[in-house]
This record gives sequence, structure tokens and C-alpha cells, in this order.
Amino acid sequence: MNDRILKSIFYLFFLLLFQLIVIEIISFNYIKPDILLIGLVYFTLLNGQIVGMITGFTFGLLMDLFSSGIFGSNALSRLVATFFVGFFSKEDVNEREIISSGFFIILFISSLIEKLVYIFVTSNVDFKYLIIVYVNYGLIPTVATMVFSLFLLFFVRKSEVSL
Amino acid sequence: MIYWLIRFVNSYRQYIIFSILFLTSLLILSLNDSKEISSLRKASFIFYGLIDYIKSPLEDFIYLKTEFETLKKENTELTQQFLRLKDYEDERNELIELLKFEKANPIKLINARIILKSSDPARNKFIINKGRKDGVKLNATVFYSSGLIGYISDLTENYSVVYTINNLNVRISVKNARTDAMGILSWDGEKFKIYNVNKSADVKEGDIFITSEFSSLFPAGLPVAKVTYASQSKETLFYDITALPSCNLSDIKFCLVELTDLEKQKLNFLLNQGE
Repeated sequence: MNDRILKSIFYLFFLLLFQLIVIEIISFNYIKPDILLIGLVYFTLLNGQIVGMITGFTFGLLMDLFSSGIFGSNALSRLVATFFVGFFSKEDVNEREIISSGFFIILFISSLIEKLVYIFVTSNVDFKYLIIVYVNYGLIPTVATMVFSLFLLFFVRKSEVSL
Repeated sequence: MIYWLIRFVNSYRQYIIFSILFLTSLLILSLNDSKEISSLRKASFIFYGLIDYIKSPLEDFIYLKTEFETLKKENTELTQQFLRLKDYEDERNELIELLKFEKANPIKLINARIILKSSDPARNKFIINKGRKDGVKLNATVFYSSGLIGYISDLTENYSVVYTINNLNVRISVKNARTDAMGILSWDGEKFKIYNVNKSADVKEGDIFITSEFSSLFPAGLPVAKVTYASQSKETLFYDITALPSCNLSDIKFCLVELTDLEKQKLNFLLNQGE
């Protein structure tokens, strides 16, 4: 395991805590950005599909453990999301190259997939209400995640400029 | 065979790992109600409690402050609303009292709102919202359902000045409603005193003094004051009497003005001529 992976895992732990503590507080109704997913998408694109999937699964389990939800639901949904993201990962990719317009499209689709799997596993809803549930619990948080990721991009670019 | 297997695993390792992890997830999901997962979930509650312990002060800081401000604002608004309603209720009760009085007394009266109360304790007066235009005359009696307030001392088209009974210049001829003992009521700047009540008369604390027939300014029979202290002075021939006004002058917001009738004016004229 190289330094880059260790460093990334450390950041992911930080994002997990941020997601569990800060996001829980600042979230309003359905507007709940998924910071951990942003980190996992970035991590998978940087380190490849297999490492991404294992990390997604592990952090999903940790999230299940900490959030006292249905055990395994986050693990499964994040596993599927990172599996999808893994198809877009390239070898020897630069950290700066990841943050591009492609990243946001991948993040958007992976978030939709993740939410779909999560809703499918956790909620026992009627098919006719699935669209409404999916819009509220899937699409709105995904949009919130996208907005949050734009903020992150802004800070990353700003820090690059200052360096 | 082994070579082929290694090659297969190598080529499709991501799918194999995905399948293993996927099945593991499904297994965990299916075991959600099992004893092992239950004990693990119990442990997760400890973690969750810990997280909650960390985030509570943060939440308190963000939300409680806002909530406190909102509640404070709401409380102020409700208090103001309550005070307004209390005010309306008082006004309503006051008006009902006046209406009852007006119905019970056949004399011609007009209802007026007190718009200003003078703050000078020695020369108290009210300004009311009725004037010459409404038929109010100079020296007209002003009173409330519970008792005498004063008289009209000055007036314009729309407003009048009422000299209240707690005025240093006002002297009222009064009599005890129970025993008919006569006296003169006046305001000494601090309290009401009833002078010239003969020691031979019967006066007790709680007695009501009403306007007497000797009063040229006020009609007879209006309650004026209630005796709070009465003692027979050894030095003089009269009682030492202290009283409280029948009408609480500081609380009222409305009053009744007697529209002076011609008969009373004529009588006053005759009395003055006789002197």
C-alpha cells in the first residue's frame, strides 16, 4: 500500500466524520450533500476500481456502524457506486487531472446510482411512489452533493493558485 | 487448468471482488435481525451516542441560539398582543358599565373618551374628546358609573377640559349616604379630606359620601368618596376624616358628561342673584 492510498484513506476518515457530524447538523429536509461519496469517487478515480470498491464497501460499513441504520445498506450502495466509478479510472492519473468536468458527470451519475440502491434496499415503498421518493431522497441530495463539490473545486483551485 | 484459472481471475478480478463484496453486503443485510448483528448494532449505538455527544454542543450553538432569539421575539409579540387584548377587555367592561349606568339614569348623558390625563398631582385634569359641538356646556358634571369625576372647566368645539375632584381648587358639598351628616370634601394635594363634619354626627370607616343638595355645581346623590379613616378630634368640634374617591381616577379611560339642562342653569342663576 503506497503513501497516496494511506493519505487518501486518512482524508476519507475525515470526510466520514464530517458527513456524520457536520452534514447531519447543516442538512435541511432532503438537502443533504454526500461528502463521503465525493471523496470515494475521487479516491476510486485516483486508485482504480478494485481499491475503490474495497474502500467504498469498508467506509459504507463504517457509516452503517456509526449511523445505526440498516446494517450493510450503505456498504452495498457505495460498493455499487464505486464499482461504476471504477470503469472511468485510469492508470498513472494525476491528482489535478481528476478534477475536470468529467468528474462532475461521474459524480452525478454515481450519486444517483448510490441513492437508487440505498432506497431500494432500505425503503419498502410502493412502485407508484418510487419516483417521488427517488426525487426527494435521491435527486435532491444528489444536486446538493453537486453544489457542495463545486465549492470543493473552488477551494482546490484557489489553493492551487496560492501555491 | 490452474494457469487458466489464474488467468481468468487476473482478467476478471474486479468482477470477482465486486461479486464477493456484493454477496457479503447481501449476507449482512439478510443477517440484520440476527443476534451477532444485533450486538454489533448495540455497539454502534455507543458510537452514535459518542458522535451525538460531540455534535450536541455544536447543534446547541447553531440552533438553540436561533431558537432562543425566535422564541424571545415570539414571546415579546405575544406579550404585546396579550396587553392589547387586556386593554380591549378593560375598555369593553368599562363601556358596558357606562351603558348600564346610562340606561338606569334618565338624565341626558354623553359618553366621552379621556384622551389625556394631567400629570400635575395638585391640579389634576383630563382632556376628553367631546366639546361644544357635542352639546357639552361649561361646568357640566363629569362622572363615571362608580362616582363623580369632576366638571367641565373649559371647552372648545371638539374637546373639553375636565377639572377632576382631586384638584386643590375644588370644594364639594357632600353628605354621608347612611346618616346624612354634611361636610365639605377637598383634595389636600395628597389625599381627600372631609371637613366640617360635626362630632355629634355618626360617621364610620366605609361610609360613602355623596354630593349634597347644597352643591350648586353638581347634582345631588352622586357617590364621591368612601371613608377610610374617621376620628373625633379632641381639639376641634369636627371629625378628622380621610377618604378615597369612589371612582378610581387613574384607571378609567371613558367618562359620562351630563348635558347641562336649562332648569339647572336657571336655578344657579337664581341662587347667584339671591346672594
